[in-house]
Amino acid sequence: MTPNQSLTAGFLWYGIFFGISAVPCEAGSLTFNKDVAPIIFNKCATCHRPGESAPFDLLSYEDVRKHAKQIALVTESRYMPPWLPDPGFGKFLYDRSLSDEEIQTIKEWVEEGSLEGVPSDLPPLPEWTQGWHLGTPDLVVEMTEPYTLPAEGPDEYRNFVIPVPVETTRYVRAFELRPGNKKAVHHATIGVDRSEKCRLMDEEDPGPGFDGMGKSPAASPDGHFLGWTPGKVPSMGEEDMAWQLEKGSDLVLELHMPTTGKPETVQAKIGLYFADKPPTRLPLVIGLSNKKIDIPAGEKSYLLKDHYVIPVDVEAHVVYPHAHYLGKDMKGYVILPDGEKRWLIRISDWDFNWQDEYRYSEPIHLPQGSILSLEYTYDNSAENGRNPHIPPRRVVFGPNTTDEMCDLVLQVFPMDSRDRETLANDFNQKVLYSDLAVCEFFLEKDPTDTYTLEVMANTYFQLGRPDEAIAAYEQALQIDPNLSTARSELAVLLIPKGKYEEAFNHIREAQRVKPFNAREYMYIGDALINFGGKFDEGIEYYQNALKIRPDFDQIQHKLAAVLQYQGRTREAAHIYEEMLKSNPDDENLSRRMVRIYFDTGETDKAIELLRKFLESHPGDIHTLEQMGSALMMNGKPDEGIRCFEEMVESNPDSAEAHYKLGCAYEHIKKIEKAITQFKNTLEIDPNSESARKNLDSLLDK
Amino acid sequence: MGCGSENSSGGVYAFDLAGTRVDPLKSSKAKAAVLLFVYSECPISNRYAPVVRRLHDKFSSKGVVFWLIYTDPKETVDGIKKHLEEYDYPCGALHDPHHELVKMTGVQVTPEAAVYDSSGELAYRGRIDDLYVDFGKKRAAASTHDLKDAIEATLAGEPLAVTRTKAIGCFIADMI
Repeated sequence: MTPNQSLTAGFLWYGIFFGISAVPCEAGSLTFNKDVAPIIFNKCATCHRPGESAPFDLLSYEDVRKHAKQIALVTESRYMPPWLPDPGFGKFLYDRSLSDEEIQTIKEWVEEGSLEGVPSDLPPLPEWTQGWHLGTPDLVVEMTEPYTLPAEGPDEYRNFVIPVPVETTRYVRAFELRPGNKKAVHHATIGVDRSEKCRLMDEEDPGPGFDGMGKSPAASPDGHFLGWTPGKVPSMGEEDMAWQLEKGSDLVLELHMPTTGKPETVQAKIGLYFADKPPTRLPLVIGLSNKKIDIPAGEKSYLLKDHYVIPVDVEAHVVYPHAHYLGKDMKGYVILPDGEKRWLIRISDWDFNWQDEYRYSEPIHLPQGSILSLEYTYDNSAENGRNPHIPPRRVVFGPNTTDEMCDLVLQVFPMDSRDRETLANDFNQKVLYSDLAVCEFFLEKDPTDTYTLEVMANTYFQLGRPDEAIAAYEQALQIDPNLSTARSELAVLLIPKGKYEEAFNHIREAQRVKPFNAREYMYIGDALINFGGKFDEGIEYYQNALKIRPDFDQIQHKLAAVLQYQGRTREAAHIYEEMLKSNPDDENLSRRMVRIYFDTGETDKAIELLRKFLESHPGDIHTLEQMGSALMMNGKPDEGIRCFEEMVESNPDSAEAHYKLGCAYEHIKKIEKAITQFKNTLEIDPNSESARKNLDSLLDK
Repeated sequence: MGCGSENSSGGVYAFDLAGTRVDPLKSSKAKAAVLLFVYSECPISNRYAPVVRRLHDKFSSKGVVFWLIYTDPKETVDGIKKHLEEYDYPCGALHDPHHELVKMTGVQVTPEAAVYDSSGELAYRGRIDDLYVDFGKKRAAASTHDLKDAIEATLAGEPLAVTRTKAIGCFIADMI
């Protein structure tokens, strides 16, 4: 090789190594208008514009130049745009991240002096939707009062309980969150609470809402994640994949709000879009989780693992990784039955503040026998700038942000409802058995840990092992006799065993420590009635529950049903009447009332309710039959028979209608007419045995 | 150039809200002067407003003068007034459109502080505290309080344990 050749080769190597194009180009050829604006407008300006989440606008050359060095730095470190998943480990929708080329373009543009370029190169700004992205929602709910975030202090995680005014079950196809104050709301998740527990937590916490991340017992509805992060555009979703929103449910909005230096007012709105029909495809949420967490102070790389073999074929749609401030490198993958490893997600620089759920661009098919796996590492050293403890200290599993968690949650769709049930049961067992193992892990470290003993007791109970549950509760109570919840739960377990005296002793003792709430009364009432056959005592517990919460409809229903069963019909009727006053349009309740009024002989009241039904359901066979009977019982046989006749006129092809009219005629001794109706019945339905029997007996006479 | 107080601070001016030229180091008989460089669009800078207020409340009665220095050349007097009110800043504000004070102190980002002693010497330059580790990396709470320590040592006439720290925030160089 001649020296000249060597020089050329060296130059080429240099060019390849540093990514310099082989085609010569003028220095400083990158311009804002031509090269940088398309990136900034599409990937940054969604949030960096007036009224949106990000701090300053990036809508013009001047805007961007004023932050150029910073933009180059934060894009290169991939802090901006905020997107945690590593590229190449799964493809997700709404991916905000920049490509390596885009990052390089910005960097070089800044190095070359951040030139503006010629105006004709500048692309137009995208057209952003004003107001609701999905059009006017079917229902808009709002935080019941504004919340004032203080000027300083640590980031707040706060839950706001928003009652949903729906009269019947609705199916939610999509939602859209409008945070109200985007500068103060970093991200949000929405859960649905059907138990009213969150309302109680709200009442106990001063100020609007209640404090705490992950504290809310509200759950993702029907396996759907409802999350919001800045820049995420809502999508209408699929009609057949809606989630159910029952009457009396609360939406529980958890907001992550970093303080900004001045007080901020927040009052978020949620728009809901309904589907016409119930969903036909129901997802399940399954997940990997490791709660055996005990990270020594100073530990730089603490490894946690978990795995789960999927028992049926599923399609994975969404993945949600979760850890707190010590989480560092998070790997989620699956080993397919043929041995191939497929990534579910990889986040090598976890940031708790940017947690999100990630929806796959294409659902991932996971065949039966696939092994879901997680491997997370945690950094509890002082070098971890996010470590909440300086100096570091031991960190164990727990829901507080200063504790740690280790979860990889997947939203999956089984192929049919039988598979869904198989998976739900199998997964439930996995969770319960791993919970049991976690309890043992912590009890080995501290056998007097009553919190863990209570969790263990509850886990045994759910596994259908009541004796071990009873033993664990008793052990906890020996250590701390004032655990009133443990006592009331122990009582619930003792009742089915017939140990009433012991159970009642625990109940008395528990109430001495803390008066029962409505739910505790209800659970004991349930046990007394369902497992002990002690109706009178059970009724008393239900009544006590209603003294605390007179409008608790779950208990009202139970109490009324038991009273009715016990023949105390008038008392049951009274409860339903009270319920009907607050829910006059509840059809099921009204129908039940009609039946009770027949039992109590209060036909006037039955007639009144039935009249209302006939307005909304004219010609309804069942209603007309009940109306006819009620009128006849009420001493109005002519009006009664008119109802039966109307029933046949409205339903001339119904064998049932003719048969019932025949019976009514027979009842008022109009034998000829009765015979005609039974014959009509048999013409429509020759197999009707009861019509045949009635006809034969009338003809015999 | 000599190194007396006259020279190290002489001839460097910013503008107050009436548009008058002010030399923040010469205009008072302060025991110490704190120059805090801010930018109304910088979220990190804004987030420190309550901390700055507390430092001001603690030290202004002890002979420390605080100046907020607005670094964006395009900033307006009305914009500064609105920002002062919004974030409830109690201290005097100056606009440094030509970055004369930026160059004099050598600050690079907002928020960044410069503390001068009574002789006009730069005693401390850097962060307010260590709350921010990097862009987007924030501790649950600060573990060092560098500016407060620097002011206290300067007031007491003691040597400073730390005289320079790296501040995290928005680059001032971008604004020119």
